[in-house]
Amino acid sequence: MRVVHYLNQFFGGIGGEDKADTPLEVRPGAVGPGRALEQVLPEGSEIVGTIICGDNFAAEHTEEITRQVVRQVEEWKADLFLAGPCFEAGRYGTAAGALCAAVQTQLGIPAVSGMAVENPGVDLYKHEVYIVDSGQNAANMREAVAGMARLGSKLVNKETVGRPSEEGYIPQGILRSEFVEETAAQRLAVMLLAKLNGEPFEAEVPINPAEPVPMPPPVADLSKATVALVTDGGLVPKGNPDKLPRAFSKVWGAYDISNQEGLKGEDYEVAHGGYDNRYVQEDPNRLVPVDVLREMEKSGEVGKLHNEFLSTTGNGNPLENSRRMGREMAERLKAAGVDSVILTST
Amino acid sequence: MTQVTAMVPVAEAVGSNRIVKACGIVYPVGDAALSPEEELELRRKLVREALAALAS
Repeated sequence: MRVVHYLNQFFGGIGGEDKADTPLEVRPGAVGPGRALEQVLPEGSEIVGTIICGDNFAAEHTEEITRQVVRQVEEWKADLFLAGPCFEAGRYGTAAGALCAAVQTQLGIPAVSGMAVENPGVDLYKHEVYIVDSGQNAANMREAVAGMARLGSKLVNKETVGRPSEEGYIPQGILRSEFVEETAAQRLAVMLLAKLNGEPFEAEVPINPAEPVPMPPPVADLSKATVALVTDGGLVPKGNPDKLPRAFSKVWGAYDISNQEGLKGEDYEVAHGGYDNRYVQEDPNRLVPVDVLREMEKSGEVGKLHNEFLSTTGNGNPLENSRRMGREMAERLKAAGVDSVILTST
Repeated sequence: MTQVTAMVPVAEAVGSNRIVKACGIVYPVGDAALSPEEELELRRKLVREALAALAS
């Protein structure tokens, strides 16, 4: 079995966030986690080549790298394409999902990725791509690659793939008919008893947690509107007064900008640990565009720039937590008479 | 609210309904490769796009 493996710049051994803009490169054989993968692939399998790309480059040039990857996988005559495991790395997961989807539809060979359930790549691609639940971090590397290898070789051999809980992949939202001995009422009673006793059980119809967000009406007159700036890029005043963490933030902050024409790097720092902060540190207006909005306030394009900006670290946050912070931010802004918000995301 | 982000598919997946594509992940409304004047002009353009989305 000929396998092609995709890695980001970090697992590909090129470097961290400072190398996230590395363009796609191609290496023969296995690299990094690919070596662990090779040990658990069935006998006679080999990783014929590894494709590595920086997370930012992949996110910003997805179409371009997708074309390159499909061409390369075809050239290497692969039987299976594996991407990751990506754990909680969002840009990595999003790229891996897109590449797996493209390879399997365009080349007709199976593709498998590995991600944490919270990875945004899961919501985007779980319906079309088999994604093994990799757990949250690289401590689970061994189990994650074993799961990917097992599922990948099953798909190559056209064996029947069992349920998500048996095979270790993230549910794809597919309902399959099965013959069972117990009636629905009996199964329900068993599940209810398990739930009451705090024991594990598997629902037959999982509830999709993604809720539609109602679209607010447009702002009638911008020249009379108060506009607030909000960011999930983790900009905070020097000293980080609210102690925003680098990831998994449960807190957010509100910071006064009423006397500022623009933001200066010397007054701010970036708490976010998931992207290369140098450019925002150099000029925070690149993240929170106070300079331009102040200009527009003076020229009358907007009524008023709200006197504080809100900031949190959007990095690996569970959805529940993000929803709560969003609600709290909205309440504060509404109470202050803000009409509209520009949210900048890294 | 308008969300300015380089990762448009993620914004769509979580239900964001006014989205403007940012310049890049490490500088949503900037570009370190440009001269300061060009960068400021780019930022004006992106912020105007975000405002136009708010009003429509």
